[in-house]
Amino acid sequence: LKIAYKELDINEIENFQKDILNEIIRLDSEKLVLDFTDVENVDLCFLQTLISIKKYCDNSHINLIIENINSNTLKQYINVFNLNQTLGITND
Amino acid sequence: MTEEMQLFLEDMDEQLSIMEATLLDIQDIPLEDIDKEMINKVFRAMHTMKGNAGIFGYKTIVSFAHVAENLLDEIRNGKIELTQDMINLFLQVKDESKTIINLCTNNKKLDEEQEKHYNYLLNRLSDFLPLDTQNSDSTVQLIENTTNIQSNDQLVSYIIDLKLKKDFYKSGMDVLSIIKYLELIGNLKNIKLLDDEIPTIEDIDPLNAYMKFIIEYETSEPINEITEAFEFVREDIELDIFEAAVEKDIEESFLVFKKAKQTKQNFTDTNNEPAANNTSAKNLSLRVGSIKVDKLINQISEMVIANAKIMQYAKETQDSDFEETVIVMSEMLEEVRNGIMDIRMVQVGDSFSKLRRIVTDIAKRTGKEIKFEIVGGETELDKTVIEKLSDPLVHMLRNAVDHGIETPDIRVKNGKNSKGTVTLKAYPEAGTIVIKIIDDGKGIDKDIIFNKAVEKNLIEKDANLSDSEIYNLLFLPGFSTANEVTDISGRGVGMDVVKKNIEDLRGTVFIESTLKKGTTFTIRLPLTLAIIDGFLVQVADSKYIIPLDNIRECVELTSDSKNQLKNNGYITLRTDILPILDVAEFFKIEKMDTKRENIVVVKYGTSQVGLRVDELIGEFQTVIKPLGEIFENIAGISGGTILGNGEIAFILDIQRLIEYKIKNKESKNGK
Repeated sequence: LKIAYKELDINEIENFQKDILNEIIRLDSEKLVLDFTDVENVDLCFLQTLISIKKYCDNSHINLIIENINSNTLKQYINVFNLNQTLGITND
Repeated sequence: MTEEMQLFLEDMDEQLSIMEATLLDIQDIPLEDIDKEMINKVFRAMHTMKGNAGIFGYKTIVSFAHVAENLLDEIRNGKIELTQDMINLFLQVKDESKTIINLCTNNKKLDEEQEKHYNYLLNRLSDFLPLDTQNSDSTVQLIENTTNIQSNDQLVSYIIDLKLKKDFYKSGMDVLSIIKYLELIGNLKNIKLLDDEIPTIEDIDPLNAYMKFIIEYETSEPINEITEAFEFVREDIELDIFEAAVEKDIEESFLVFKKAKQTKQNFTDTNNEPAANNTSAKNLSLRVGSIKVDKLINQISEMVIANAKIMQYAKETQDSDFEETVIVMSEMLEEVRNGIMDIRMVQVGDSFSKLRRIVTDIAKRTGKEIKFEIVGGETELDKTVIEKLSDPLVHMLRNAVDHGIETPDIRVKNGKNSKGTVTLKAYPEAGTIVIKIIDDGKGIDKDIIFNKAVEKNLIEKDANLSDSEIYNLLFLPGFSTANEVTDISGRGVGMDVVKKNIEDLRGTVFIESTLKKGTTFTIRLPLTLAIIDGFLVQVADSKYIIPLDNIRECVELTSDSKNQLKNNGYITLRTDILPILDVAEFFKIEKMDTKRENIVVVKYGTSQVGLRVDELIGEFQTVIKPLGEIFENIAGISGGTILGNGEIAFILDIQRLIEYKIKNKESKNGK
C-alpha cells in the first residue's frame, strides 16, 4: 500500500486508520507492505498508530514491511526511540 | 508561521519585556535598596526564555541564557554583588537575546559581527562569575553544534518516567522537542518506549495517547532543570523523576523506579520555586493566538449582520413571539460580541513599559537626566490599536527627550529641577482613549515654527493662525525646526507619519505647549476598530449611524428652537448654547418635509454639537466596513455598515463633523 498522505499527523490519522483497516480486510497474502515514499512529515500520534499496526500484524501473523521512509521526523523517531526492532525495520 | 512558533515568539517577547522593565526599575533605585524579588523576576524571565528556547531546540539562545542565568543566580543568592555595570550588561543581553531569537526563528545564523558581539557579551558575563561556576556550558565561545555536558564529575543519573495523558496529541507538542531540550543540559543514556498499552489498529482510538517512556538520563543540573523541559506539557503528562541507582541497566532501574514510586519525587515537589510560581500564574490565563481571536471577531461581525437581517424580518412578520425570541438572541449575541471584543483589549502599561528603554537610552546619549512616568497603565485598548500606536509613540517620546527636555545645566539655570520629567498618560474619556505625552521641557516656540513655515513657503507671511494651527504645522511633511539634525530626531521625517498613523486608527493628535514650561501631545483613539454600538438615524431617504459613545442625548427640534436656529445657527439647550450641524445640508441631500425633526447631541473630547436629523430609529450593533479607496476620503464619513435589509448606512465621523462646525463657526465670527 502506497501511503498517499504528505502529512500524517493528528488531522489525518483517523483517515489513515480507515485506509489501513480497509487494506487489512482486502489483504490476500500474509504480507502488508507500507510504502512511505510520499510521506514528508509525521507526528507522534502517527508513530503510535504505526506501532499499533505492527502489533496487529504480529498477532495475526502478518509480515509488516515498511518501505521508503523519507520523512526525517519518522527517521528521528525510529532512531531516538530505538524502534528498528519494534517495527521490524532491518534496512535503511 | 505555525501557531506554536507564534506562541513561542509571543512568550519570548513577554519575557524580554519583563526583563527589560524590571532592569529599568532596578536602574532607577539605589543599589542598596534593590529588592531581592526584582532580581528573582529577571532571573525567572531568563530562566523561562531558556526553557522555551530549549523546547524548540534553539541551542544558541539556550547557551546564552544559561550563562546570564548563572550570573543572576549568583546575584540573587547574594554571592555576587549587583553593580550598575551588570545592569547595563543585562540590558545588552536582553537586546542580544532579541536579535538571536529573530535570527534563530528565521533559520538564520549569526554573521561575523553578530557572533563577535555575542562572544563579547558571553565573555563579559563570564568575567563576573567566580571561576568555579564557569563550567563547560559557559565556555566563552559560540557553541554551534552541541552543548551536551560531556564531562563533569558532578553528574547525577536520573530515571524519568513519562506517561502521555489521553489528550497529549491535541496539545500540539512532541516528545522529541523535550528530548532535544534534555540533550542540551545533560546526556541521554537510554530511551525506552513502552508500547504495552497501545491497542492494535482495529481497537485503537488514534487520537488518544497510550505511550509511556522511560528515560535514563544524567546531568549536573538540579532536578528542577529537568522538570523545566516538561513545562509546556505539564497538563498533558504524568511525570516522575527520581535519582537512579548507580550504573544500572534501564530495565533494572525501571524495577527500582517502581519501588521508589512510594517515595517519588514528583516534579511539583521539587524546590523549584520560580517554576512553581510560573505555573500557577500560567494556570490563571490561557494564551490564544491573535489570529484565532481575529477570525472569531470576523465571524461574530458576520453574525451581527445576519442578526440584523433576522431582526428586520421579525419586525416585518409582526409575529410578537418571533420578534421577542430574536430580541433575546440579539442581546445574547451582543454579550458574546462584547466578550470577544474584551479578549482583544489589553492594558497599555505593558506596551508603555517597552518605551521606557528608549527614553532612558536617548537621555543617556544626549546627556539629559529624565524621570519617565507611566500613568494609567491599566487602561485597556484594542491590541491592534496598541501595536499600531507603538511607532508614533516612539517618535513623540524621542522628540520629547531630544528637543523638549533641556540639559541639566540649562534646567538649573532656568530654576527647574535638573531632572526633566516625561509622562506617558492614558485614560478613557467619552468612548475614546486619551494618551498624553507630557514633558516639562522648554516648550515649543510658536514664532520659530511660524517663521520656518514662511521660510519653507508653507504659509503666507501675514497668515493669521491660531496657536493650534501653528502647532499643527509640525505635522506637515518635511517640517522640522531643529537647527541641528541628530541621529535621534530633527530630520523632519516622522511627525507627518505620526499623524497619518494615528488618523489611520481613526484617532487624532493635538499639541499644547507653553514656552519654558513644556509640551503635551494628546492622542485620542477609538476603543476598538471592528464593531461599535451605533445609533441609527434617518435624514431624508438616507440612513446614518452615529457611534453611541459620542451621543449625549436626543431632543426634539421644537418650533421655537427652529426659529432660533434659523436666525443664529444654534439653539439654546437648557442654559447652554448648542451649535447645530444640519446633516442634510452638510451632505447636500435634498430635504424632505417631515413633521418632526430631532437633534442628536454629540460630543468628541470637550466639544459638543447638535446634529439635525429627521428620524431617530434606534440602537444598532454596527460592524464597521471600510469604504474602499474611492469613498474613504468623504468628509464626515468614517465607514459604512450593512443594515438588516441589506441597505448600506454610513457611519458619521463625529470628530470631523464637530471640527468642521467649530471651524465654520469661528470663520463666521471673523476669526
